[in-house]
Parts: sequence; structure tokens; C-alpha cells
Amino acid sequence: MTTAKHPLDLLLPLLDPDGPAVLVDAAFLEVESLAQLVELSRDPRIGRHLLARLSDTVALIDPGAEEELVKALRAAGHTPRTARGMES
Amino acid sequence: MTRSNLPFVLSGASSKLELEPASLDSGTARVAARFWAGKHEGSSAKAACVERIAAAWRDRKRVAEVMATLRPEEQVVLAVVKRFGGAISGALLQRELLARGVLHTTEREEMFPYRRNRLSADPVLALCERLVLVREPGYSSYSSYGLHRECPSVSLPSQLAALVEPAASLGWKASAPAQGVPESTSVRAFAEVLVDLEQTARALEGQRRWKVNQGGGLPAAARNRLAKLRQPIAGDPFDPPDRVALDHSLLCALGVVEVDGADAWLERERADQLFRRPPEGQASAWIRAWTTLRLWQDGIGAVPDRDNRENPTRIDPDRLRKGRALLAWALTRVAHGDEDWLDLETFLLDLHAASGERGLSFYWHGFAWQPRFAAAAGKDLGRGPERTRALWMDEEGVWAANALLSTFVYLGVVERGRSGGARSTRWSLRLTDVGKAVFGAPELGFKRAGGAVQCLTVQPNHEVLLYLDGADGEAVTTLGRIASRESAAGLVQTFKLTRESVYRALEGGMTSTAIESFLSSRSRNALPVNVSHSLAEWSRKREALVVRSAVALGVGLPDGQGVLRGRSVSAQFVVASQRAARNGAKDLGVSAESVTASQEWRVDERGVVSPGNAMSLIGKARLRRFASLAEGRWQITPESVRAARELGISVDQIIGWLGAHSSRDVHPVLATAIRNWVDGRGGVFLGEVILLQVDDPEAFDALRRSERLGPLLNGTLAPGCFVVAAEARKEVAKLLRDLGFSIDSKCKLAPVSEAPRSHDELALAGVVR
Repeated sequence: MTTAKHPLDLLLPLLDPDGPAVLVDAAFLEVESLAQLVELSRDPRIGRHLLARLSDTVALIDPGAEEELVKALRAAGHTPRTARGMES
Repeated sequence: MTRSNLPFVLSGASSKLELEPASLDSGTARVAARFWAGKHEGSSAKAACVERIAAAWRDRKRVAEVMATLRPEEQVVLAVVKRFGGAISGALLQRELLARGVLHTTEREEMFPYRRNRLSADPVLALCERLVLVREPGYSSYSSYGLHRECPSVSLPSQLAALVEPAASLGWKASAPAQGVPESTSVRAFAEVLVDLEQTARALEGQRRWKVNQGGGLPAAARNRLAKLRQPIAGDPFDPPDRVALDHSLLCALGVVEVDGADAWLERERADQLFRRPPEGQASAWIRAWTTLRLWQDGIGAVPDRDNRENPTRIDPDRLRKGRALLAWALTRVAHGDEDWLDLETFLLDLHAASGERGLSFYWHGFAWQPRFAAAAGKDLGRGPERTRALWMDEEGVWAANALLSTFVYLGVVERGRSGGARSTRWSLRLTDVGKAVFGAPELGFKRAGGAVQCLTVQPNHEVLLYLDGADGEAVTTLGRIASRESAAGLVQTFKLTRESVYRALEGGMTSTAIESFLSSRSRNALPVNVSHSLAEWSRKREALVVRSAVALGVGLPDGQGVLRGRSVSAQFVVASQRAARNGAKDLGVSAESVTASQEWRVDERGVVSPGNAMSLIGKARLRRFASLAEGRWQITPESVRAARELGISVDQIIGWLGAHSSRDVHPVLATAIRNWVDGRGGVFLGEVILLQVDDPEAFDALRRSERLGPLLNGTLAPGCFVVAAEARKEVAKLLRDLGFSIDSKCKLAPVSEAPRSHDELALAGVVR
């Protein structure tokens, strides 16, 4: 039995790179708080589109699943902002 | 107050014909060259003549001199063509010239006798013969004659058009005056039409792309779905049939909806441009589009894009287009007439007289609104003009009545009037102010209020009342973006601001400041504080959750590096722009990794995953979601798959990821196992059966029919194989011996690799009877 040190370790583990890397064409989910990320990861309709967390408030989205994630978030009553690039 | 001028509504309704030197006959080329360039001693070959004509047309002074020599009636013809934008159909040209007295209904062909080497006396033909006008190819003045002879469709070459002044408008004089002001009237405000059209466009846009029928028509299912936006008015014969199809057809004709094969989509920018035009500009565009509709017909509704002479599915579209142009032409004259209200029946009789027997002519019956005209009562008379007129009033007249009092009222250009009781109803019509501007253009303008009008009331319950009498395109389109419509009829319509509607607007590029500013500036009251608070709260909630795509991620970069700059989301990770990441990666000597899966994994049927030399970030992140790492090797196990399922990761997703990263197809046993682990499916039989194998097909068939053997069998397993009931083994053996079989043959098995793949090939049947 693994002992989770972080509330998200079992739901959405931290990205575990093998070394320095740069990933392009990536997509992220950004939230306001750890609690919100825990809540979203726990929802199977949403969590299935997330691959790993980068921090307590940022998660890596499965490539190509951005639209489905937005649909799932909307279906769950959220109103996510969709942004392309680094625009704020 | 501002005034705007529109082009003549039928300007450009006909396609322009270009002068094709190749299609010219040498006689016409010679006559035209002599007319335009004067006498010439040189070559009279066609090419030389065409060159001389072209040279003359380039000389503006020469063109003016030659044009001045035209006869007055020819000048009128050119002015009429200019009024119609430089191109006019033969039907309209004929009716115009008759109305202007250039042609006379009493004229017969013998009044324009054919004279060798002389120009036609008919001014239109004479102009065509000298290439002052270009006529439709294939037109022959000999194909018809007299009253039935129709002018050719003609175009005015652009080199000559600049020197021609457009003809003045024609008026309309009713043959009998209307009986005063009607007792009741129906009219739609311009903004009412606009809101409906805008809402239809928005609903279509919500579907992104939708399927269309042949020719671009909206399928019935989609029509029914969209019709819920504004339910048809039950029992109202004036509500246009298949109103959504009308909106869709108009949007297609206006270029707002694009169709490519079976797919259609909305062009938002074009929609915004259209809806923000001034009222008369939009209404003029609607009417121009209406004249071209092929898949929606007045008083009929949506029609298929196919024709059948034996069993017509619609009015012949080309004939209807001609009829619509003639009806619009009559209304351009009404706009310049002195009358206010026109009696419908009188107008239709006048239209019949003005458009001619063959002008507005087609076959259809069974329109949505079926008025009974007194003038249609003469159908039973003997042959003659009265009977012809009565028949026309009962068919084409009814179509025109539907177009005028249903379609045009719906489009806000005509006001409908009614007088009298149920049995003595008299219908009447008049153009609305917008209608007068549309049909009276370019001479008549439209007076409208300048600047933005306060046409909203925002209520504390988040409802927004839209007053259509003062609403403009900007108010209607902006409100359509930020609020959902609650009520669909009347001069005051209700919209509601909701979290979803505001979210859609914010996602569409509006800012919360712009929304609040719009509501404040266009509202007759101050924006309620709670509404302002809601807008701010909805906007904040949206900002709290962001799905960001098309960015790059820097991972585990050296401390203090300043090459790849971006936003640090933790000590290890930097989110940066794609461009910065690509440049930074080069400088740092790190390869920029794409999210596209590299197919380096090898996965065996036991679920052991060998990821290759270096796993990609995405590959590893995916693998960690459904496989476990034990003793340095990645393994897909029932537990790891079930854990993934708990997180919402489906079997298809896992198999899809495996397929994307593997160099070979996922082993079917592993795929089956993964499905079984999650779904608990895959039941099998593992046990003993008593098999009776009969090699000879004839013997097998004979036994299959046996009444003695049948009850002792459980079924068949494969060709030639019976399954014997366990308790009947001895009895079956005895029976087989009695039948002369020896039961000591060896069981013949096919190799597993040759096992049939399809269930159909297995004879897993029930008991043989």
C-alpha cells in the first residue's frame, strides 16, 4: 500500500521527468487552489483528461483532449476560460 | 435624424452578360463597327471590326458622340437598363417599356417589319444589333411575336454605362381606390424580424457545423429543433410555413451561412456585418435574397431541391424567381405611387394586368393561406381573358397574396390590413416605412434616429426588456450574445442574463467591462447593483478556471538559466510561449519534444511495457496513469487498470494510449484482458463434453434427422460434431452400433491456428430436432 504524501499523489501524481526537457504544443488546466484541483481530479469525467500535476494549481492535460475537457467541465457546471498561448 | 440611400432593389438582380467576340456573327460586327467607328475602307473581317469597336469604346468622347445619335426611345431603353444596375431580364424590360410607353400592348410584329440591311424598328433589338446592348445568347426575335414576344435579357457594357443616366421611378395607380383605412392591421417592427433572424443565426452557430439536404436545405429534424426557439403561431395562416427554413434560406442567400456539399456553417463576421447595417439596408438585402430563394417558397414552406414534371414538389424555381422579381417590381412602383392602403384584390388584378399573361406564370395550388377572391369566380366561363384572369387569381394570385401578406409582413416591409366580417373580409396592404425605403430606393430615403437609442430595461431579476421600436442591429446582436431570449413575440421582448449566457459572451471575446458598459449605455434605467455584482462574479469564476492550450513546458531546466523565460509554476516547471520554448531549447541544447506520441514502446501479451531508451514526458505521464512500476519494469495489471478506471480512465483510452505509443498493434489477448479486468466480461466454458464426430457429411445429415438420436443430443459444436447428453452416452453407442457405425474412430482435430474466427462459423446451435 502506497502512502500518499500529497493529497493529489493518488489522484494526479506530480509529473516525473527523466531529465531536462522542453515540451511544445502542451495544454494545461489552471485553477485557483489545491482544493479545486483535488475536486476536479476526483471527478472521473474530468480527471480522465488530466495526466499529471505540475503544481498545486496547474495540471497537464492529455494531448488532444482539451475540447473534451472543456465540455466535461461545462457539463459539470464550471465555466472555464479557454486561452491559447500565454495570453493572460 | 439621418437619411440613407439604397440602390434600386432590383439592381443587379440579373446577371451581367459580357460581350463575347467569338460568338458575334460577322454581320453584326460589321454593323456595330460602322456605328461606333464610322465608315472604314480597310478590312471588314470580324476581328478587325471588333478591334475598331473596342478602340471606339476606349474613346469616351467618341462614345458620347455616338450615344447622342440614338433615338429617344432607345435612350429610354438604356436608362431603364441603367436603373436596373446595367443588366435586366427580358420580362422586366418588357414590363418597364410597356409601362413607360416605349412599347405598346397593341403592337404586333408586323409593325416592326423585317427589312434587309436595316436596323430593327424595335428599340431593344436595334440597340443589340449595334452592340449598344449585349443580349442573352440564343435569343431569337423570330421565336415569338406580337403580344407574346418577350424582350431579350440585356446588359449595358460598362464602357457605355457611365454616360447613361438611370431612368426615373415609375408610379402605381390602383384601378379602384381602397375602401379607406382598414379596421385592424398587423405589422412587424424591423427589430422584431432582426431578433428572429439573429436568434436563428445564433442557434445555428451553436451547432458549429450541421448537415444539409441536397442543395443546402435544412433537414426536417433540424428545422423542428430550431423551431422551438419560436413556436409557430397555431392556426395563423399568415405565419410563414417552415419559418426556420425561411431564415436558413435567407442566411444562405445572404452569404451568412456557407454550404459545402452536405455540410453548412455560419460565418460570424458576415452575420455581424449584416445585422449591424441600418434597417433599410438589411431589409433591402433580405428582399434581394428572397427573390433568389429556391428551397423555400411563399405559402408553401421548405421544398426539396428536385423537380418532377409528373408530380411537382415545388413551383418551378426559375419561374418563381421571375414572378418574385415582377412582384418586387410592382412594389417599387407602389412605393412611388400616391396611394396609402391598397385593396389586395384590386392590387392583384392590377398586377396581373401589369405583369402580363406570361410574366407571373406558374402552376401550384394548396397554399398556406387560401383567400377566396371574387375575381377568381369566373373560372367556369368560356375561354377568354376573363377566364384566364380568374384562373390566374386562383393560382398565381394566391401565391402573390401569400407573398405579400405573409412573407413580406414577416419581413417587416408590408403592413397587413383587414376590414369587414368573416364572410365579407377585405384584405389590404401598404408598405411600412422600411418597406417604402427598400422599394422606393434610390429616390426615397429612410428617416431614422441617429446615435444609439436606449432600448433596454435591466431588471434586478436579471431580465432585460428589449423595446423593439427603438432597437438597432448593435443592440440586438449584443444582447443576443450576452443573454438568452425568454419571450419570442411582441414589441417588448424579454431576455435573461444567466451565468451560461454571459460565459458564452466572454468566451466569444467580450469583456465583462464591455458587457456592463453596453447594458449601462443602452438601458433606460441604471444597472441594478445585484446585476452588476453577478456580472463581476460570473467573470471572476471563469477566470478561476483556465484551460490553456498551445503553450510549452520547460522541465528540470538548470538553475538560474535565463534563456527560456516564462511563468514558473513550481521549482521544476516553467510554462512558456511556443516560440520562446523552441528558441530556448536550442540554446540550452535540449530537444523540443512534441506531444505527438513516439511509437517506441513494446508491449507483450502479459502486459509488460518496455518503453525504449528514453520515455517521452507525455508517454511516461500516460503510462503512470494505468501501469505500475515494479522492480524497474512497467507492468499493466488488473489492479493498475482498475485503479485507472476509478480515476475515470476508460478501457478504450488505455488501449488507445498503448496503440499510440507502441510500435505494433496492441496484442489482442492483452486488450481482451484489460477489458475483462474492468468490465468483468469474457465468460467461457471449460469442462468436458461427449462428442460424437461424424466425418461423412451425408451420414452426419442423416443422423441429424434421426428421431431416435435427436432426443439424446444436446446440440452441435462444429460441422460434423454432435454433443451427446452425458446420461445418454450408452444409449447413443448402442444406437450407433445398431445403425452399423463403428465407434472406434479417432477424434480429428484441426490445429488451433486454423480455428474459425467468426462465431458464425461455429455451429453452436441448440438441440438438434
